[in-house]
Amino acid sequence: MTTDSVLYLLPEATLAGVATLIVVLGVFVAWRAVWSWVAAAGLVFAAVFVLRFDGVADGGLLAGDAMASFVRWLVVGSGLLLVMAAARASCRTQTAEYVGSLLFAVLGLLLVASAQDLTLMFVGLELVSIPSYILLYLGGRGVPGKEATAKYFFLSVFSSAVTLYGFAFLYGIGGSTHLVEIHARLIDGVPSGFQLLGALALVLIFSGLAFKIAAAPFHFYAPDVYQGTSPINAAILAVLPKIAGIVAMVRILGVAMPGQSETGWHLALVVAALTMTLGNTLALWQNNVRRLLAYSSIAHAGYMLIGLTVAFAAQQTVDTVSQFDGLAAMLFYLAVYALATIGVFAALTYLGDDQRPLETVDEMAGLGRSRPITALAIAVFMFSLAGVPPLAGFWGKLGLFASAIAFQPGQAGGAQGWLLVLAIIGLLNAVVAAGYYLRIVAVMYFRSSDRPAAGEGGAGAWTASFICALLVLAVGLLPGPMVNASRQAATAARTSVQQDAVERAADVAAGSVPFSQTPAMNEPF
Amino acid sequence: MFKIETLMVLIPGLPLLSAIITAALGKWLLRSRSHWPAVLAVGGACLLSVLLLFQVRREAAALHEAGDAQAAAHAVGYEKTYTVWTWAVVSRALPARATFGQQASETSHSADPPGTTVPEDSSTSADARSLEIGITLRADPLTAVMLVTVTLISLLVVIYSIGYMHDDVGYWRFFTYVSLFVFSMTMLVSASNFALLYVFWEAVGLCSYLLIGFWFTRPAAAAAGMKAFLVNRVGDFGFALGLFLLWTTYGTLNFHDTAAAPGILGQTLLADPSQYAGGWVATAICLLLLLGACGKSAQFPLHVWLPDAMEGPTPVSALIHAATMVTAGVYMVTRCTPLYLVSADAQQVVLLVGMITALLAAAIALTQTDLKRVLAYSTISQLGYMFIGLGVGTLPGIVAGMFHLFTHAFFKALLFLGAGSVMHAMGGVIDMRRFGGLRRRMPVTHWTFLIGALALAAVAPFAGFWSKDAIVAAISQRVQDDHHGASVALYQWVFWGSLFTAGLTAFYTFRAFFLTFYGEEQIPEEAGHHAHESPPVMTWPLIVLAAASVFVGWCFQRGQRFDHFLMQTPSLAFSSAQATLPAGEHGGHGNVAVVSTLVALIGIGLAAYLYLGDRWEVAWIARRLRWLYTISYRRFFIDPIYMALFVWPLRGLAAFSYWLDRQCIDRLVDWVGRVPLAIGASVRALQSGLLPFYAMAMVFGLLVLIGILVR
Amino acid sequence: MNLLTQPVGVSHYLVVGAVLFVCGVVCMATKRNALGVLMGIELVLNGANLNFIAFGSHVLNRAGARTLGLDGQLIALFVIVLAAAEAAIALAITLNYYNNQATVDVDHADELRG
Repeated sequence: MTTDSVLYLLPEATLAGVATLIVVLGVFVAWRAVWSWVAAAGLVFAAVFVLRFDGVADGGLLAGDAMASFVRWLVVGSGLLLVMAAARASCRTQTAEYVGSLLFAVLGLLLVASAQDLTLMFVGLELVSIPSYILLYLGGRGVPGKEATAKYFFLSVFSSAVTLYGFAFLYGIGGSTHLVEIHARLIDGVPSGFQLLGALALVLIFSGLAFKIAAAPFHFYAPDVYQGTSPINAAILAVLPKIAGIVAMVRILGVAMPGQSETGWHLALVVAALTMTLGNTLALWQNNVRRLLAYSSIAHAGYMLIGLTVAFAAQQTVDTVSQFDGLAAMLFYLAVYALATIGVFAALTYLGDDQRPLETVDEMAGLGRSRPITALAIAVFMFSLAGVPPLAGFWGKLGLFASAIAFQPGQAGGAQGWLLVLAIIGLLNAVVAAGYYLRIVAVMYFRSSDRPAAGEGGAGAWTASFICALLVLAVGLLPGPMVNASRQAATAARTSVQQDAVERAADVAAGSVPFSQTPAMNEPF
Repeated sequence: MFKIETLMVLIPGLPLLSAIITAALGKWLLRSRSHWPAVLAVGGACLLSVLLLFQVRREAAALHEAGDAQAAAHAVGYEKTYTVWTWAVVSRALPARATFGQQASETSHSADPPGTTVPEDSSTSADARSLEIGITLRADPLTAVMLVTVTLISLLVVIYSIGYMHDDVGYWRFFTYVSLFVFSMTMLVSASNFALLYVFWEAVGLCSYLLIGFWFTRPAAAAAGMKAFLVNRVGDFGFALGLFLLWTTYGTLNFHDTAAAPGILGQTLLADPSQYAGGWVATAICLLLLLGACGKSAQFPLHVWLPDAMEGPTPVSALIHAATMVTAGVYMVTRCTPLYLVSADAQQVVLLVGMITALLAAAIALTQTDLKRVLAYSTISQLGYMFIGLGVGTLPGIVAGMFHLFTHAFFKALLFLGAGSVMHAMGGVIDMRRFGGLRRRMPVTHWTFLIGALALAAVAPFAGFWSKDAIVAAISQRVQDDHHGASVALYQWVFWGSLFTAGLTAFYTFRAFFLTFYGEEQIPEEAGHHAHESPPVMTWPLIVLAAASVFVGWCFQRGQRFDHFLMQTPSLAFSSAQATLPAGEHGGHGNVAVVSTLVALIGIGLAAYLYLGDRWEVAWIARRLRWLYTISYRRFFIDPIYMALFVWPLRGLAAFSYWLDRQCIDRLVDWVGRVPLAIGASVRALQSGLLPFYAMAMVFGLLVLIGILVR
Repeated sequence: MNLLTQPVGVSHYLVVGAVLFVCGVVCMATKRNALGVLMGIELVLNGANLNFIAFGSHVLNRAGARTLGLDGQLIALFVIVLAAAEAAIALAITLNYYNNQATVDVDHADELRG
């Protein structure tokens, strides 16, 4: 590791330092609100360092590529918004521990963003998970809170173990923990006698990560846990592990495991279709807002897996453009989803109060009149999640479905028809989803209530949701920059694991990679 | 000094800022001060537009002098583009060179004279082309002229509106819309690709809709807004199809050249105009674009919305429905000159549309009793003149059309604002039968209106004379050039028709003038204490516009300054267009000028004879020529015809669809809607809440996945 | 390939790892006791650890000449540490759970469902 890499790690180091500081000094300082400010300051510093030392890492365990910076920006931004949204709510609990744990989780996610090694990846993933158990424990309320904590903990640890078991097989067949070396070895096919292990590794890793993104059939925990805990914890669980899971999928499954693509697209296709259908149809029945949003979050995991399916299928037919399209659409969707989800949970946090958070959809009646701005923000999130143009969610869905429909069959076709079917299932699901999203909007605007929501969740939560709404609008109106960033990220994720990236990508890019994607390529190492 | 790019961004930027400020603060904070942002922003934009004009002129001249041979070889006209940002990218939007492109190239090859090639070669090399829509602004002489016209008229109208709208409830709303309109219009004329042009084409339509229906509580205003919107949709439909065809033919929507592709109106194609697609493709593109232009510029058969649009506040009629927005079609066709020069058929359609519209609208205007409607039909008629100019198909004709656009903006805005001043004084009454003899009560309005009327009637040396004369001269030139051509009869007819229309114009203009300001003084009771001259904030814009109406034609026609400047526009500067310049020294069309002045004077004299006395002849004529009078007064029955042809059948269809929807589709949908609910209900039991069960389910899921996939 | 007749190699360790994994999984899915579930998790983790060590071992891979370095052992160490951290949290959660429910049976927690 060179000095550059050390500088590259400054955001992580900052967060680690600040988080430790908060947890240690939290014992001595009675003024709780200060810790939210300190955490926010730490995140701002981290953001500055991310900006300053962008892409100085030169391989090794870290990939300082466009993918890493895309995810790091997303993570730091999400972290800041979450800290803001949690400012008032966390004062009720042990603020220092709560905020500190949140920072640790963000730190873990930053590691995942640029991890190029199985060990680091796993440590990063655990560093996301372990603090989130503590967050659940601290933030939960009463018996449901404890129940949620227990459920999430045991199932999450189980999924980590499954991931690890998959990692072990990947290590065995790839002969290294380093993704570049694994890719280099697997590019010519899995060593003879190890084919079984290759597929097994794929399924195990996918399953473990599917838990993190709440994909069926590993989604069971999500509704119970979101319902049982506070809105802000639900936001954390809906966003941070999902980012971690998607990023790990892109890094490991999307690009570093060639040769398993056929199994891969079968797997991702089935899980994607199952996940979105389950999520959306079950959401229709819910009246608890957080439970409804949990099913919605499951459904979105299903949409995102469309991108992975395309990437796998494209890998099989060596169609680089479609592969980029799929991964890029997935990353774009992830960012858009994160914004809207944080926003809506922040708004719910704001609408509740200390004694009782906002629980059911019915309680949202009349918000359009009593809390016009928050209601408008929630409406924006709902429309975005439903994929209504011109909001960000529309471009996300458009990208995913378009990548599936535009898939061109290569010499080993067969995936095309199925991808079309998947896109159609996705579209049908989007229609079903509109049902429950619009129901919330309708309840807010067309039903009146004599008991207006408390609106005691604090200015931080309000601001966070407002910012999210603005960002969703902004990305919706100007999707260009973010689309480009996600494209560059997807391209970089691939080139970073390819030893002879430049020569290969050059002749690929010359023909078919759109003009805007090429500058993203990093130097090989 | 400002950089030219700064100017290009600031000119639309200021009105946008004003629109945002007024929208955000108008209702609560600015209230009766809401006009300030608009005045400042539009004034700033106007100033910057003038600066831009001079800068463009200087740089264009510099380009001309720099190195004759080299510059002439490398640059066609003067243009400058600036991409603010890339708005949207659709990668691989045009993959299909193999399917449509192949056919298109084959057919156009077969239809073309030998030796011409369709510019397919650049796109065949790459198998896919991305659609990149950039917010790209351009500066060239055409844009500069349009910008100055738009912002100057807007500034005067905005100032006028301070007086006109002063106690309206929607004061802030009005200035928000107007600022938004100025932003959209400046963007429309600055846009450097068809997609952006289309966006702002729609945006000005939206502003127009909002402003026509500004007093939305009045049913007539709401209906007029809707009508304008719907009729424009018909045109926009054609425009959109035209864009699609352009995209599939040229693989780009940019005017200018980019790294990815040569632009449709860019240097590469203009340098070698034989590369333009010919045959039916060219004609189809031109006609579809023309349909769009007809909608926006109220040309027959889509002209029906403009008279109704007079329900909006009068300053809006002056700004949007006379001086600026309705000329967008003229601008667009001028901009697309290279495309039209390829297709002679399309050109003649433009000519015919213009002629029919000019004549029809003038005939209708003869008998209308509503002052604003007379002016509205006059606008339609004058726009028809502009289209005649464009349809002549020679560079002098096109430039004359643009010149008429330029002068018309001043005197028509003047007339409308004058009418608004009258209306303001008469307490909202605009029916000429109910007032008269106002010249003593409203001296300023009277004199300025007279100047506007003289300009519209094309009496020398007022503005309208120079531009209308240029159009007529262009036609007569074409008749001379084409004296043995196949379609010389057409041009001959158009020549006489346009002269006749000029006479009608003079007549109806002065009819309206005499009815309003002469005769016995008559004031409706609605006027109340308002029946006096308007406040200075309204009369000063009138005076400025009157001064402009006197001088603007003569100033710019002198030495053909306007023509020479405008001809530096890339779309007009390329070789094919230059080839249509008459060989000899042109401008010696004295006899045409004499004839048209004579015609105008006859029209005025007739109006004076009929309307300055006790007007008994009028009633007599109306009685004797009852059917002619009725046709004109009822506007050729076009509205009822459209009603019977389109509106009623569609209403019937709507009623049927409604029944079908409620009785059949809804039930089906309800039934389909239960499917997801049923799926949800059936799997809901899985969500048992039991941790061991969840773990079991996960393990089971894992095993199934392994079992299916791992082989 | 009959494992019983072969000299002990990576495959044998993988089988043991798999057995541990399956035992852990079954334990997780069937035990009602929270501590039992935790044990199951430890078994799964150790199954994975065993695989890592086996793949990384010099001795076992001598014949195949596939020397993978110390990465396997390293990751196993990391996993052990992480497992310890998780166990600590697990105990805290279980204790807390016991305070609320007066039991450590996880199937008492079924208030959240649907």
